[in-house]
Amino acid sequence: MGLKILTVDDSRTIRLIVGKAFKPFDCEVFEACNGVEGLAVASKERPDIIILDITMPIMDGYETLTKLKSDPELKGIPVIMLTAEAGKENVLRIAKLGVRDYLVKPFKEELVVERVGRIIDLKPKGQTKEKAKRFDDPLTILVVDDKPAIADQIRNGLKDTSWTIEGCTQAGQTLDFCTQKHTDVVMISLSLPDNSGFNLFQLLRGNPKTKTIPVFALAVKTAVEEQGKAQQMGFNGIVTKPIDLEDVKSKISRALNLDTSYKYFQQRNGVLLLNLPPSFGPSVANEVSLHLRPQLSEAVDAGLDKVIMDFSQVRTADISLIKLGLEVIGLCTELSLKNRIIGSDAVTHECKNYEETKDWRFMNSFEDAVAAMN
Amino acid sequence: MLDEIEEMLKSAVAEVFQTMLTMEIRAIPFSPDSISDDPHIAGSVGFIGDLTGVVYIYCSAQFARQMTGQILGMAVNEVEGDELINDSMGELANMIVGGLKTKLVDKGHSCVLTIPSIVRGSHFSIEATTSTTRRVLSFRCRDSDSLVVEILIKPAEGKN
Repeated sequence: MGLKILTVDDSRTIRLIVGKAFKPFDCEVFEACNGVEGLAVASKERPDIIILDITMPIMDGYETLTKLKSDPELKGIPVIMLTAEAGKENVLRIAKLGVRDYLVKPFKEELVVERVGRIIDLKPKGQTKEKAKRFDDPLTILVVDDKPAIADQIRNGLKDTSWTIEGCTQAGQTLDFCTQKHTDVVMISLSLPDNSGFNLFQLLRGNPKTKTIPVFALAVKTAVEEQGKAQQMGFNGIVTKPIDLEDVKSKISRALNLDTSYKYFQQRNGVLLLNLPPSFGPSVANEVSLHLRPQLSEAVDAGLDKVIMDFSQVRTADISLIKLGLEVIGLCTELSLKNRIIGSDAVTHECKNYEETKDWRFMNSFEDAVAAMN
Repeated sequence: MLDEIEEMLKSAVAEVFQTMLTMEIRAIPFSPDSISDDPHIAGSVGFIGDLTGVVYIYCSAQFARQMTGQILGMAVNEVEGDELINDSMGELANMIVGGLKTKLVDKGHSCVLTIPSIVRGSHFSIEATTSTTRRVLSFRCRDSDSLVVEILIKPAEGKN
């Protein structure tokens, strides 16, 4: 269940601004136009936080707060006071009454979200309920590097995806970008001047609107100390320079839990076909491995009893291919699925050299593989 | 003192417009002819204490509607009825006078604010009594939108 926020203000304008500010978050905003109404809503709804105006008719904010704090059932609800008067005397008076924070009008919506986000754990709306995105869905990736060539390189390397790569050369622009535009992933260069990459990471994590965006560190392969620091701070991963774009795709897919299974698995003529791309390597192997059990179980569920692994586009039979092949065969045995492998001459030849794969029988085509299992 | 208050008001108006409306506003010399006979809305908030007075902010009904839309992130045609516009004008007056009050309190003049009120109409004018000092400030927003801020102030007995 979402969080509950109560805004108590005699101005409908302010109540609407507060309601709008929290619209992107998984929370419900309740309204009251004076202290008496506010106390009644607080008793009924037990909000997680109250944003309370001071100058109101019928019962002002001071009296409302005093009554809240003297009610054993309500006194634990954190209160942020909203006031048009920022004088020292006023601030001291509300601080004595036990408010958690105060905001002075005029205020920006972002500020009220930030202050509330410091007290309660705001989560973007639908974060948990949203259907998993697919790898081919549009995404926005922000690359923060003082060398624009890096963003260009990533943009160029990912042009086969439907992802948009935006570039920022200064840390200062990043927070504005992420709070104003939907951003799926941020990649921050650790070589930005004055440690600003690390500072930016902390700023992103401290802002309710950006705290759940996966953030990757971009670091030179040899900058081991910086990479260690990034890991300690909680970056979602490290992308090393020179950049391996397949690795970037794989890391982003994992961080966003993107459904990539359609790239490798398809059902054709009553057979589950696992098709490995020419770019196959350890990161693709990891990705396929993640989908393996669910895909095979789904196939069994759908009444399929045959699996074909198509390795014909793979350039070389390295250890990741062998491990993956063994994993598929093991799962097929477990689920009583027949299986065959299609391979190029090179892969067939290489597999003869390994103890684990020397007995694998390779087929030349999908039709041959199907026929061999009938 | 009145000159100082005038500067405080100018700064409070600019801050409220910049923060709540993301609009630049600049003070221009006041000319009575600049107020048209079109329907106007005035929001007012009083202050009572060492200094006692009232501040009116007024503009055309059309500009008030545009400001309401801007504050609430709505298109102008989505702003329905007068009630919301009245409320927004009252809140803008409250914020501007709240900003003035903060500055007055910092200078040692304590006072409390009243709840905002709204006046609507055409051909209205604000008159000051003899014991009251009056200042009128005029502002220009974007190219043609005007806002007038008027302060009537009366020092409490025994204070300057």
